Amino acid sequence: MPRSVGQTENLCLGTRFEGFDVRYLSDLSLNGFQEAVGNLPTGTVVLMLSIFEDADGKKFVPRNATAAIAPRSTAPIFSVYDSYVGTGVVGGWMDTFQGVGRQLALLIERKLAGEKGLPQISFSEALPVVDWRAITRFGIDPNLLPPETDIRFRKRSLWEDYRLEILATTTVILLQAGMIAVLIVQDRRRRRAEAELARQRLELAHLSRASLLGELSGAFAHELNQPLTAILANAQAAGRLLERNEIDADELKEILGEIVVDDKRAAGVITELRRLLIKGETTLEPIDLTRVVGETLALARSELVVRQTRIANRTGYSEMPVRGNFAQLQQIVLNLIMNAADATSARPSSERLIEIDVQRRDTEHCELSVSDNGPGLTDETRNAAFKPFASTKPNGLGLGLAICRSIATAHGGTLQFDQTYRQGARVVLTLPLDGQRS
Amino acid sequence: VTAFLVYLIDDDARVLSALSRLLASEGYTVRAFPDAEAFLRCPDIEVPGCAVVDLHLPGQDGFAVQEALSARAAERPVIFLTGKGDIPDSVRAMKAGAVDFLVKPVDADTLLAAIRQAEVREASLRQRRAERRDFDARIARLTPREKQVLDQVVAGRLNKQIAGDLGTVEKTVKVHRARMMAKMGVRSVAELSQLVQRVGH
Repeated sequence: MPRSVGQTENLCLGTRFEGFDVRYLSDLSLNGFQEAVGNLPTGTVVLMLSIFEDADGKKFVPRNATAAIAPRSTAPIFSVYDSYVGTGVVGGWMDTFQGVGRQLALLIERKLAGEKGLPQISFSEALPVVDWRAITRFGIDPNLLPPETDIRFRKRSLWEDYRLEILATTTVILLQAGMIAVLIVQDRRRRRAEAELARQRLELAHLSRASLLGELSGAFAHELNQPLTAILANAQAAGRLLERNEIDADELKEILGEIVVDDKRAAGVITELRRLLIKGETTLEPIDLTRVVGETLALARSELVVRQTRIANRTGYSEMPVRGNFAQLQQIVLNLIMNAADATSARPSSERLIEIDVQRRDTEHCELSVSDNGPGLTDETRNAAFKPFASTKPNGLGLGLAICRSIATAHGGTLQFDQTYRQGARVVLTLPLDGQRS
Repeated sequence: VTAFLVYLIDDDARVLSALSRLLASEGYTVRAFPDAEAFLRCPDIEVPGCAVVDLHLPGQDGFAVQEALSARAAERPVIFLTGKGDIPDSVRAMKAGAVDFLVKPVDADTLLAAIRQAEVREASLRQRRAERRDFDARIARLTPREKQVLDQVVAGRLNKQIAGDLGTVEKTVKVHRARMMAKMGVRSVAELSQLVQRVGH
């Protein structure tokens, strides 16, 4: 495909060569060449010779002309010039420096071996050269290439170029992934364990509450019995008066009114008990700590009467907003009151006194304190009191305070003895104030 | 309507009110108190009556009321009410002489039966007290000699033996004995022995 076909080519190839038709492209403009090769059918190959000047008289370095034409070709372009490789041609049998070098070496070898009459001129032995990118482009099977083929522009894969780096990086990534997986599994296990722990804590708190209620069952029976006693007496009195026709409508109305009030009182006790007995959720709701104290004292009243222990509620009527679980906070208050009652039992009944108070500690915390005038605690027992199974009581499990402290902690608060209190024992529960309401 | 007085002691105002109504409907006079201290501060009235006490009271409990009442000259029967039927408590109450130990909520019939029993108990106590007062008054009128004769007669000794012991003659013993019998208001030795045994020392 030179600008003008010379004699040599015509002589070598003719119009048919080895069963293939031969066409010559020449005397075309660069555009003409580009169009001509851009439309070749399959089964065609192009042999690129040299273009120094096109039909428009434009001058070229042949390699540049090839570079302009070859990429447009729909058929593989072969050439005989080593310098064309890289412009888009597929390749060809070419003189290469390698080939020349090899011939020269053979010649020198023969000369050194003492051979005489060696040729003065040696023709170079062409070597097959291909452009890897071009054979890939035309889908030529590399296995068909002669073994000595000089393959150029072979794009080495990343793997070949950076094998070590890739191996190292992959290893690092795998290790990291493994580590992440392990951490995720651990995290999940930890979360599951935490959830399980929280569930068990709730369960334990509930069990402890239930056993506390069991201890107080007599007192609760009394709390229920009082309204029931009043109801029964009122109803039977009314019945008797009616029988004897000694009752007027007003008195009957009054009796019925009292029955209704007492019935509601009994229902209130049952509601309170239910609230303490149901397992409940861990949700913290806005509640009034003063009310918790008041309702707990109402529940514990009978028990304290039986134990002949006086309790002084110093909370007054001011509201103390906290976020908490009503039943669990009641559990703490009940526990503290019962402990205090136990502590005072050594004193004569007329002197036994428990004091309960709720105070603002600072802008963000409030404290509930229960103090008794019992014998107090030694530093040793004070420290051990919150540990499980550290009861000083003959029939105590020693879980009460430990559970109360875990409840306090779950409420974001603390539960501890007042170290400075000397008139007996004083336990202080500190809770964060509910900021939204205060 | 009986004049029987029922002292009602319970720390629950509503229970007091309902029980008072019930007892009043049966014709009893009721005086209600919220605790033992208030009841015991109240001056004792010389009217037949009993006490219905809740065992568990703030301050002094029902047992304290029972003790205080039995220490008084005019003993009043006690009926206990309690929220829980505790066996040791009931044994202690009954041993200390309680009429009954009732568990709340108490049925009207049960409570009224106990109060009637208390009435009977109170009446017999009252009678014994009267007899005792009478007996003591009679004894007080005896001379020392007549008193000595009474002791010997009750011990079953004959006039002759008594005379020997007291260093006197049988005739004198007979006179002392007749005066003593008259002062004591009895006609036979058997009657005297019975009286001494029932009210006795």
